Order: sequence, then structure tokens, then C-alpha cells
Amino acid sequence: MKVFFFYNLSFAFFLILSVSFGVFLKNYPLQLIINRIFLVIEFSFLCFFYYNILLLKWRKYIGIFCISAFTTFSIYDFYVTKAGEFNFIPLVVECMFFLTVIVLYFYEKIKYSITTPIYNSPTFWISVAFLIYFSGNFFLFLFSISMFKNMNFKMEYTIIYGTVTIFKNIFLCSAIWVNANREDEKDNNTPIDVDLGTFNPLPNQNNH
Amino acid sequence: MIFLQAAAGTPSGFNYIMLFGTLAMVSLTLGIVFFVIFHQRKVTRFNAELKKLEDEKQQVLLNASIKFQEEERNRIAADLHDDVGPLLATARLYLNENMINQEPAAQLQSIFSAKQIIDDAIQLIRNISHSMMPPTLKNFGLESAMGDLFQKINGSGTLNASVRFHDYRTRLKLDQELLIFRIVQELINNIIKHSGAGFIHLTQNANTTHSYFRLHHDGKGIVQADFDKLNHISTGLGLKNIASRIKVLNGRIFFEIDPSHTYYKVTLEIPKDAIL
Repeated sequence: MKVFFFYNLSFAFFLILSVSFGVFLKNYPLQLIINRIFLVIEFSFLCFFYYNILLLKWRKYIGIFCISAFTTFSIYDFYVTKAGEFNFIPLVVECMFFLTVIVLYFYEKIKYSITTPIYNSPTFWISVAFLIYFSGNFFLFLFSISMFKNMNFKMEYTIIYGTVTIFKNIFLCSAIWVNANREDEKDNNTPIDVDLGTFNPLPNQNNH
Repeated sequence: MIFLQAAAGTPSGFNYIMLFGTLAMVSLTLGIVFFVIFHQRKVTRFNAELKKLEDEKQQVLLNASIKFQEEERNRIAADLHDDVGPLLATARLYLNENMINQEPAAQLQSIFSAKQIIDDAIQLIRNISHSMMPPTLKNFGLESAMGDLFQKINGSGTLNASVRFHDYRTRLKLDQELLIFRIVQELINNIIKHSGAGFIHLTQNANTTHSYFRLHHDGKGIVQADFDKLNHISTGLGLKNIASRIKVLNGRIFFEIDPSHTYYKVTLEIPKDAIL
């Protein structure tokens, strides 16, 4: 929840910065830089969040590798993209990556969380929020790569993005509500398919 | 890219491909979420039921253990009251105040009788004590105690009983030995009472981590499913005591029938380093 709190704090900070530069100061190049920085920070925060809750053995290495790779890719993409334009490819990459991670998180929950109902955990509702956000915006970002200059598309973009973001925020609020109301969660991480082995007590023994 | 270009070719209309794609993705997402919730709920319910059953079983075992303790105390109390009490009372009668007025020969006779009765009382108390903790087990270990037990059974002449320890160079802890001894005693008691067996044979063996004790008999025995069933529904204490002792030992018990269906076997698996 701490990671999630700082993520929201940075989200609010960058949103204020972005709106200030874009709407009030009309400084679009700086707004693009801020958006790009926020994208990398958002990716890092979410990576760190799932690093904390996933049980995968090599999650640490995956997290470090993915954050480094995504940051490098974002910087490269920023310099390659024409000045004054926002490229949606990093957003599509982010969507695909987190859709995979969240499905992995659900798989782990099904396999290992066998005593506490999953919906009593705030991490579940945060994951649902981001799963809806990333799946709802996936096609939007994919089409935005080629069609973002189209005015009709911009309107559709605003409607869909706005709707999906509202749902995301509702689920995030649910996470906060669940966290405030939940009892001490004690997950039993024993796998269900425990192999007890075969019974052969006296293998080389003549019984008589 | 053709897909994207086709979608881009409708500048004024609503982009339905994108809309349906988004809806499909969101539906898929919701499907996954609901599946996870329902599946996990099913699993947690199943585990809760399992835990409840386990708790009930623990309760039954605990009750059986308490009941057994009470029965054991009652038995000792009855032995002391019915056997030792009258003996000592009789001895007291022989040694009353009038003895001084008796003839020396009669006095001697009274003292001799009182001595006999006190000897009997000592023997009785010794038997009660031995039934609580066999001295052979305490002094010489499980192997000797089992040997004694099987010798006594053999002595009755109705049953052929034999015992063989293959690897018992290091003794288990005394508490462990006593529990194993009691389990084997109970099993033998059941075999004699219910199976009509002609022979009983006990084999012991061990590996680095566990000790194994296997009883063979040619009577009418039970298999694991019968044991589990009887352990749950039976009102008798014997099997429940076996189960609770096995649990204390952190061991396992297996009731099996030989593939040839000629004899039954009961195997105890006891970890050597069980903490009691």
C-alpha cells in the first residue's frame, strides 16, 4: 500500500505539472518531457509494486531488467520521435507488460492463496483496477500510434480513456476501502499439490 | 497495419473496430477476474471444510485421550480399593491388640499370615506399577520389553508369537518407546480379541530418519479405509488411542492386506527425532 500511495502522489504531482505546462503555459515540448518522465516513473512504481507481491523466485532480476530496459527504450523513443509529437508505442509496451504481470499475479493467487478470500486483499483490487485500465486502453493506445491527429479519434479517445480511468479509480477506491476494513490477513502459501511421496517403508526387507 | 489503416479510413464515423476491440478486452478482463474470484472462493471453502474436519478429529482424539486417562485412573483406583485395601485390612486383623493375649504358637501363626498377606499386597502394588511402566522397558529397552510381551503371549499356547528387531542399535527416547509399546500392545490386544489369528509376528527395521515396526497376523484384519472409518465413528477407545499416540509421535500408521490375501500387516512409521 505504501508503493501505491507514492504512486498516487507522483501521479498527482505530474498531472498538475503536465496541465500547468500544457494548458496554462502552452509549453508543449516541456509537457511531452514531463509525460514521458511520468510514464517511466509509473512503470517503475508498478514494477516495484508487483515485485513486492509476486512470489516468483526471479522477480527481482525481472524487475530490475524491465525497469532498465523500459527506461532505455523510452529515452531512445523520445529522441527518435519527431519534435512536438507523443509516441504511443511505449504505452502499448507498458500495457502488454502489465497485462502479463497481472495475469501472472492472478495465477499465483489461485495457486497459493488457499485460506483467505482473494477479494479481502487490497492488492487484488489494485490489480483489477490496473487490469481494466490497461486492457481498456490497449486498443486505444494501439490505434493512437497512427490516428491521434484525427479530431474524431481524439474525441473517442477522450471518451474511452475517461471512462476506463473512472472505472480504474473506482476499483482503486475499493482497494483503499478493503485495506481500511480488512482483518489481519494471514495467507497460507502452502501449495495445494503437495507431493507426499510413495510409501515403501521396508524396501529390502524379508518380512518373515 | 492493414487493420489500422482500414480503421483510419473512416475519418468522420465512429471507430467501431477500436470500440469492439476495447469492449472485447474489458470483457475478457472481467471474465478473468470473475473466474479468479469464484475459483479461489471454491478453494478457500474446500480448505475451510478440511480444517473443520481436522479440528473435529482433533477434538475426538483429545476427548478419547482424556477418557482413557480417566479410565486408567479408575482402574488403578479399583485395583487399590478392591485388592490392596482388603488385603491390608485382613493383615490388620491378624495384627490386632488381642494378639498379646494369645498363645505364642497362635501369635507366630498370626504374624506369619500377616506377613503372607503383606507380601501379596506388595506383589499387587508391583503389578499395578508394572502395568503403568513395564520395568523391562525402562531398564532394557523396547526390544527386551517386546520380547517379554511376545513370550507371554506365546506362553498361553493359543497363539504363535514371534518378534525380530533388525536394526535397534540406538534406543529411542523412553517416552517414544513407551508410546510404541502401548500402540503395539493395543494392536495385539485387538488381534487376539477380534481376528482369530494363529500367528503374530513383529518385525523392526530402521533407516537414517525413521524406525519401522510391522505386525503380521493371519487373522481377520482391517485395511486403512476401515481404520479411518472406525477411528471416526467407533465408540471404542482403542483405535482412537492408537491414533492419538501416533500423532504425539509425529508418525504414521498403515493397515494393509498382503497381495496374496493370506495375512494382514500393520506398519508404524516413527521419526527418530520426534520431539515429545
